[in-house]
Amino acid sequence: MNAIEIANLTKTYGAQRAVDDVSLSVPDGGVCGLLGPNGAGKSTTFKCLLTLARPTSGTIEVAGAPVSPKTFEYLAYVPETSALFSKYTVADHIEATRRAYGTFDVKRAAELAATFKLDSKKRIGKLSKGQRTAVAIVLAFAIRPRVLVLDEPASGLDPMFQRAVLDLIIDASAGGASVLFSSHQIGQVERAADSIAVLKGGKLVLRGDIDTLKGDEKIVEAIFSSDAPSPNGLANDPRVRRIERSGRILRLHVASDAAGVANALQSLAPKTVDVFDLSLEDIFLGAVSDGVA
Amino acid sequence: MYYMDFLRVRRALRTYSIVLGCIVILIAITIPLSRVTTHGFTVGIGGDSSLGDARTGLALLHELGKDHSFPIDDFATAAIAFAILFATGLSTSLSRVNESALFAFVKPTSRERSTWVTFGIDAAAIFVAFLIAFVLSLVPFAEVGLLGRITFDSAVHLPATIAFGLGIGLMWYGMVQAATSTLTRGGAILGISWGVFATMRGLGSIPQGTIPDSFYWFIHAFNTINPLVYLQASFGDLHGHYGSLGVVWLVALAALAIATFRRSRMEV
Amino acid sequence: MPALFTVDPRNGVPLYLQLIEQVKRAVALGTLDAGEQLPTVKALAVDLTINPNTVARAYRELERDGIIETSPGRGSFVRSGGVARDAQRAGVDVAEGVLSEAVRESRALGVDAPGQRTLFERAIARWFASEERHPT
Repeated sequence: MNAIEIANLTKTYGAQRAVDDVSLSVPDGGVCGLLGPNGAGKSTTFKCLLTLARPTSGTIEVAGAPVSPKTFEYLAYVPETSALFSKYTVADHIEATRRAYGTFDVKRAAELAATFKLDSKKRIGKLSKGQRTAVAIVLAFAIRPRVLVLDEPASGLDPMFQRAVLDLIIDASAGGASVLFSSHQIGQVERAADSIAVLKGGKLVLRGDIDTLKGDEKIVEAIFSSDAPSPNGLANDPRVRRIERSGRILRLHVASDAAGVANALQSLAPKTVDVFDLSLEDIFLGAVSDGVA
Repeated sequence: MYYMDFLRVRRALRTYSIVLGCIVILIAITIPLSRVTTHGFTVGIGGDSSLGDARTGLALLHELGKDHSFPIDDFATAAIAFAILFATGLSTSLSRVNESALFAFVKPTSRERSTWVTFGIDAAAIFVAFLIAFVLSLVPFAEVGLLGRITFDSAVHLPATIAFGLGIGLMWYGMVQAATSTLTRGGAILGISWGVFATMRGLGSIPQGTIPDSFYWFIHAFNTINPLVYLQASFGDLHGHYGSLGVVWLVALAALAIATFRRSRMEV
Repeated sequence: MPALFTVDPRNGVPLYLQLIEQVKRAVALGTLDAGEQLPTVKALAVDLTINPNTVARAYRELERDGIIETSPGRGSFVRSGGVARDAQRAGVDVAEGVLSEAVRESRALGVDAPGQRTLFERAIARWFASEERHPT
């Protein structure tokens, strides 16, 4: 059973399709990194998942059931922007959360607050953006959730605390929790996540297991003795994501079967054909860029 | 987030008590300090010994009051006025939580339930505000030694008076909640509600025929849900107003139901 | 054993493959002895700051390849039975990868097959000669 199952989710605001037929799932115990440029629909997807917005169409299930208040007994959410009560202190928030959750771990909350160097007597309104994010993270992890939904959980944090967030996600995952998190930092995603989903303009443009994607997605590079010819036969090949030509070099970003594509290129009589690995960042950029470059 | 509601009303009650307490202390200090000439009822602070038969306000008020009786429900009516003020102060509580919706709505409680818990906590606080004003209103009376003149003949009407008064407060509270339950800043609406209710109450006294009938009927229709109109009635004799008591509570509950429904459908 | 393995998430090689290679290398070099216990999945994931499922996948593949064995509740161990052969095979795997990368790079630099053969002979001569001078 999947911890999170989003099927054909569409959310429109007037004429604008904020999320357009997105399907993604996080298997039980999996960690999925949601990537995409600003305005790609990540936060809207989260809002629909958490019943904060009503989907225009599509279905969403958490642990095999539609999302209800019962879901929130074991699901924790860290929103992108601080949504805490600015007039109340960190300690007030900890107390309010303790009262709302049977699973709240007071000792853990104190440890985490110390990790992020939070002064529990301070009002939220007096904290920096990063500190507010840290409070939300402390509250989310202290309830020892089975499902975590984190929208840009490291935004505004300094590098040391970003690392702490990464450690928390990995620790939660090792404890069996399922995680869906968005991030602008590929470095975090390639460490913490085992799968990714990439949104662009509300549409899902790539999803899959990171290691499988790294195994499949390659750059096939051919060098010619004179100007590189255009590989007409491969322009619409489903294996090819993108074609770049510059001078004597022809570079193809392929989504699968790099060896097959390399073979096909031999017909153009290049001097050399090489296959290169792609980092997750290359794969991400390849997915969000606009076709032929 | 019941705990946040609890903290919020506790803070509001504290401010309310301090303001009310200051007023009572000011009165309690002013009465003995004031000198009153019996002829012209000139009241002034500080002793002016040139006025021959001036007496302290303490003695005078005792003198004036000792032959009167003071029905207990007059005190309740005064306290209700303060409780209604307090109720309007709480009437944007949902919209204030909405600023934290991303945090407050993702909790193991349905939105409907948390909305009614907010209402319940607010209502309890309004009642406590009423009790505080009620008790404090007795302080100046005790000071001038008139506690003994308070009569309890009218005490049978006390529950109805309180129910009516607090109903008016809750009606106002509910209508502002219904208008602001999906907003994040409800303060302006609350301010506008004062203006609208006061204006409409004033327009209600225009005789029929001097303005177009449609206006006239609109004003009167509107005034059936105007708390300020009922407030006037509650200050008078409640007899014959039991129908109004029902209307007030019905409007209050309907408004709260609308607020709840709108909030349950709210998108963040 | 914090410094035993290192992985580079930014590298295009899948993380689980990097980890498998690291374990094989450690076994081949003898850094990991037969019967020696590997860190738990959780400990290694936290240690390397990488996803635990990725570590678990690497361990599964290593077990399938006969490099390690896992007994539930006790942990994962370097296989003792025939470890020498496994170690040798593991070493060959790693070496093959390194050499093939070197050939690819050299070819990209325009060195053809005969040229590479010459270079290769020269490298062997240098390294094996030096080993004879400083036996380990």
